[in-house]
Amino acid sequence: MILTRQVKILRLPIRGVLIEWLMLWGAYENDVLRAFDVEKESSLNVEAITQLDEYGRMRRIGYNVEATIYFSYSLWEGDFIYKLEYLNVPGTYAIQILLGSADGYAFEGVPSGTPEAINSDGSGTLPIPRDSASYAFSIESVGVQRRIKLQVRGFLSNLSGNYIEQIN
Amino acid sequence: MRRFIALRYTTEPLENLSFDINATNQVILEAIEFNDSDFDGEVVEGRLLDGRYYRKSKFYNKVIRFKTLAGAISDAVLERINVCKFARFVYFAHGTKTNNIGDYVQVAVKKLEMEQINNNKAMRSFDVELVEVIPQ
Repeated sequence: MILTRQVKILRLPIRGVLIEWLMLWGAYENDVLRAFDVEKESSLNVEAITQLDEYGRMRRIGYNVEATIYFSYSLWEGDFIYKLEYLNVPGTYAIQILLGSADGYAFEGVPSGTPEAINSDGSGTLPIPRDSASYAFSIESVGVQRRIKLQVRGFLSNLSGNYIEQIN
Repeated sequence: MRRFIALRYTTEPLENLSFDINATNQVILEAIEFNDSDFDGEVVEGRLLDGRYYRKSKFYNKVIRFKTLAGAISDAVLERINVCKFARFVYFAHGTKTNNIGDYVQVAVKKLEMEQINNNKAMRSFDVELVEVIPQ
């Protein structure tokens, strides 16, 4: 925990991302993709979308959530490429971004044995609902390492009902 | 100060112009831009035989323009808004809260365009121009 002028600021690195597909909504497969070993270049950006009123004041109408998550992949463990490619049917999946030591809720959470997040003293979850969640992925090679770059995008009409942060 | 507007359509002219928050075929939206101090009318002008120039207003009507705060608009509400473009009788009312909206005035819809911010259905805004039916 970082203390600045007696304000406690939680350290909340991106811990992982969960994507949950639902058969109920027409997905091909009922499945959850979990990526936890994310690389430190991963980033999360929550940006307010505003309209100006007739007095030039900003009116907040929602938030764009954009995350870029890098993680190593294996074709045998997790089968990420198959899932990400063939199950990318918008409206059939929800995405949850996990921060700090969050385990996620409502989804199948973090499997036992997963190492704790480092440099974290809090936890936060940011679920993106099915009607606005989307993603695209690409593959990069950095040195000898191959990794997936997962770009996540979503829209939230409010943060207070979605973004949950807590001190451990 | 916030501004709430109501648009309502009917098949018969309203006998009572008092605002009814529970009326059917009505939508209430928040406006972020609002202007009801403009007029649209017709003037005749020309020169008389004696050379005097004249310019006379035949009539003029109040023009109401507003833009709504973007938000998620359900299909049912969207249909009601769009029907206003073609309905026989359309009424407009406005207030600073939803519980102090004033009386209806009958209007004609001159412009009603929907804008979808970021191509997102959850952020739909309407740009509307109305003309009061009864001239000033």
